[in-house]
Amino acid sequence: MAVENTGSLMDPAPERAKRGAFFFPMLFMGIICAAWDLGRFLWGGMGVPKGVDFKTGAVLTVIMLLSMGPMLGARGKLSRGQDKAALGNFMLLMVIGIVMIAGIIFTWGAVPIATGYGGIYDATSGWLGLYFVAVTLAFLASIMKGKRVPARFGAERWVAHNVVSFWGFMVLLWTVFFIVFYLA
Amino acid sequence: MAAGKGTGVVLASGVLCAAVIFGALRWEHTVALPMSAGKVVNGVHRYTINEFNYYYVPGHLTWHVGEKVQLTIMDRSQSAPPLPHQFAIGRDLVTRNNGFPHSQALAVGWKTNFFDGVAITAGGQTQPIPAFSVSLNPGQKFTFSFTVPNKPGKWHYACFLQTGQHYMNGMHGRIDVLPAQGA
Amino acid sequence: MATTDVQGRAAGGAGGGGQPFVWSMVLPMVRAGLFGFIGYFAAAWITAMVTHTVIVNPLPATLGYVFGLLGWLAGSGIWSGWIRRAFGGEEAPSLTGVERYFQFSSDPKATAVRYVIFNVAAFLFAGLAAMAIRIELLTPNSTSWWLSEVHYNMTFGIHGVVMLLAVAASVIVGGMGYYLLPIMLGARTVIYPRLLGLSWWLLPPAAVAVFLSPLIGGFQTGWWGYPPLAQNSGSGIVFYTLGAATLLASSVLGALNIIGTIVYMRAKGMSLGRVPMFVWGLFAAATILIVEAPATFTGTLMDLSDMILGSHFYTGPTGIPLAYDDQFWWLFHPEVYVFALPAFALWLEILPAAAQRPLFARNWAIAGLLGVSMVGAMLGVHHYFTAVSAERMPIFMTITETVSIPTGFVFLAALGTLWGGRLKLSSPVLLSLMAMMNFLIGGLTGIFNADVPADFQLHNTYWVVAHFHYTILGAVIFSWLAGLYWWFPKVTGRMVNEFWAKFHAWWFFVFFNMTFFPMFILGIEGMNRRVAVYLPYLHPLNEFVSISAFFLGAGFLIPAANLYFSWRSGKKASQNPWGSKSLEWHSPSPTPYIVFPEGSEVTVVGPNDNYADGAPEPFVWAPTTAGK
Repeated sequence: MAVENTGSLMDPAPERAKRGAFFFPMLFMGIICAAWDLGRFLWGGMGVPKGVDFKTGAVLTVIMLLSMGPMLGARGKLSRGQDKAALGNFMLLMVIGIVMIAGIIFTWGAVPIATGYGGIYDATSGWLGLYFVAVTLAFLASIMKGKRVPARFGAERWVAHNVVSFWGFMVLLWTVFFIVFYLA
Repeated sequence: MAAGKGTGVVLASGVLCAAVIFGALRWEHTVALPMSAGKVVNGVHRYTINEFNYYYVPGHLTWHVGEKVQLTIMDRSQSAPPLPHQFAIGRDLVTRNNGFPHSQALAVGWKTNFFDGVAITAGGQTQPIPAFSVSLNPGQKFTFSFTVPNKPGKWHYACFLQTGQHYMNGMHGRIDVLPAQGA
Repeated sequence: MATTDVQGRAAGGAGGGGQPFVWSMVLPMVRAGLFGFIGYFAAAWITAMVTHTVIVNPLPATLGYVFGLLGWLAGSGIWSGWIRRAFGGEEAPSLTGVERYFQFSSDPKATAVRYVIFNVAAFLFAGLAAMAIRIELLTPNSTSWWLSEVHYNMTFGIHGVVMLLAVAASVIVGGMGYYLLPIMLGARTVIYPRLLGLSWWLLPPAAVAVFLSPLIGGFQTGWWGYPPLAQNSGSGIVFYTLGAATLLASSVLGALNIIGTIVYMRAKGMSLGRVPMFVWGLFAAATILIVEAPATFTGTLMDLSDMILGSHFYTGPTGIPLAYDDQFWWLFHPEVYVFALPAFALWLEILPAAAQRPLFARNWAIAGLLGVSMVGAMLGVHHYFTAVSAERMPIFMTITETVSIPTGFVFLAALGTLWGGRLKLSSPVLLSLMAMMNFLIGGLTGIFNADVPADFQLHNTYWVVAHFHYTILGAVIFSWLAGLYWWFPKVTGRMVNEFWAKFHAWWFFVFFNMTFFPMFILGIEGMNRRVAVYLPYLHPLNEFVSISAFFLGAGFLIPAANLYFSWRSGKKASQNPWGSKSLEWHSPSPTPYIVFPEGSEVTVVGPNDNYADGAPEPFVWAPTTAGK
């Protein structure tokens, strides 16, 4: 037996709770990346081996840092309730996500997985790649929802907010990754 | 109505599920593991024996005395790193005490080798090879042929590497050698 | 709105709508299973064809598992219940009737009930594996008529993984915690109900994969999966690493909900000092999972990567096998506190109500729970003192022995509550006391394991097996049963048959101790764990242990039958049969779909375990203020 409209009563967590509690999944995902990043020094030693594709890594990092602009823009527009305008930023961030996935796969060619550094590099960047897949799909979902059912998008604006927060978190993770794997 | 649609999906996926399982297993047995129950080509019975950790596929063969047999042994160890394996036919185990008086002793070889005095054809040469067995590195295969000698009865093939640990882990199979057909 | 309409029906029917069960409601689960098998075999087949291998090889098995899991999830109702609406598609109506138990549902109560059913099934199969182990150990020789050594290894590996990650990790946190967490906090649901729903659907494929691992070669490593043995055992190790990772992910999804709900969804007036003890126990367990699980989760994946991708984390030229031990025990030692802390908290929830006395030293008990979770976070090294440098030994010995102090707070709080009280000895109370007794033995013997010189003698003997089973089977599983009996009327509206509950409580207590106490002696006398073959002088004691174990195992049929028949035809329960002051008993039994009716809200004015004479009622209901 199915009943309509019980959602709001069964799920009464306020937007503040839904957005605040998203810190915990991000914390967990961040600790995973911290574990990988520390593993880099255990398996890869202190130096950066020759042949690592520094140029691609630096370009990807610059892209990520620049994406803070559209991210902050999306955040502001969501806060002001301009959902339609925010979707443009979402589209841009989704494209950046796809570029990042392609870039990560491209860098794998430079480091053989069977070496100490290569193994931990591939594992860590591959794991970040999974996050990028997740956030890209989340942007796609938000865009489709915003286009198809704008009213529901507005009623559940915390979802879009969390997706944007997740992107900001990805900027942090990627920057740490770049420092640990290319500079340290 | 909803229930009817659900039933349809379940029935369709049930059929698809059965098809995929059947197809995959059949592919496994006929294409990936072409073991054949003794395909006869020009009067030679050809068998492929695949070595895994720690078992053989197939694990049971039946030969007749006087048959010409061609065996291909292939090491398909599925571990990382993959392991070398051995193929030796014989009966009665050579055992070594492992320190536990009541436990299964370590088996390290055969007392009687099936190929004693049997001429073996491999690499273009035909001659008896003393204490013949096949040891392969991962991915290698080795083909040899011979005529089944007049030694009817139950024989076993096994791998004794790592002081018999492979044998203990179940890496052995059985060959029934029957009297010559029509005899 | 239609909600008042729901209210009217929800209050009447058992757990929701009044529509009776029909078999077609099970179809989504059948569909999920079929999609899972299709995903597995199709992906494994295609991978094997592309890479010219056989489908039992690690790579096809891995991809098969991943797509099997995705297929299972796709068939479970997640598509219509979650994904489709997330992409702006049609919104499926909420499920409020019996059908929510058989497909993806965002109702935490349905999820929790499914957890209980799953745990019982997993416990049955893993318990049968334990019986197989004890049959093998009836004789010191290897047996030709039962398990070979290699099958014996697979059997105890499966027993270990399933019992720990599919039973102990979720019996109390999952089956009881997810049901009670929102209700005890005065909320109608958890913070991310769909994530919580997803957490259950990750369990069955993982457990099934571990059980079926012998079909692709099994694994020889026990539940540790240590390299390089892992890489050299059968392909079944792939199912072990993937199954462990999936089960961990499921635990973490629950932990995220626990913490988020506690932080953000407490009822008005529920300050941290008034949060129920059981919820504190869940909180302590959840923090362990979130902070510690990543190291172990990555460890299982890196172990797998060594097998299928050709990396050398633990094997080969750059491999560091000890790194796996560090990562593995980083969580899997604290994991036992994930099992045990909710059990402790459960005693502290049951005993004050049964004794009708206020919980003694409440704040110390909370400090004890949190202290165990914090101190327990950094001592996994004591599992391999035999493999580490001398510098690490005194550090981890000291930290390990320090854990007994916060544990002592919890014990003293429980004893102080009982002191001088008039205890009503119902079956849940009896089981809780037995659990405390067993845990006392388990805890005291743990000190010997923590002590480096003693540990060098006891390492990897049956002493460790006995210690471990005293804490997990003796304490956690006993507490699980206590909780099942205590909250059975809440979930089903009926009472458990008290005679049979007490009968089997004693049955368990006697045969549990007869099974596991002799194992301490076996360990001291030199019986190694994980052996199918042992020296003959250990035979008589092993025979005694095996026979006791058969009685213990058979005894589990009693509660299974008791719970089933009580659910079908037990005595109708009143709303609050135990005289508890806790918030969950404020709603009717069985709990309606919407726990707390719309239009009134609760204000918390005190802790729920203050049973002192003249203490005020801790929960005050008032009509919802206008405009809310």
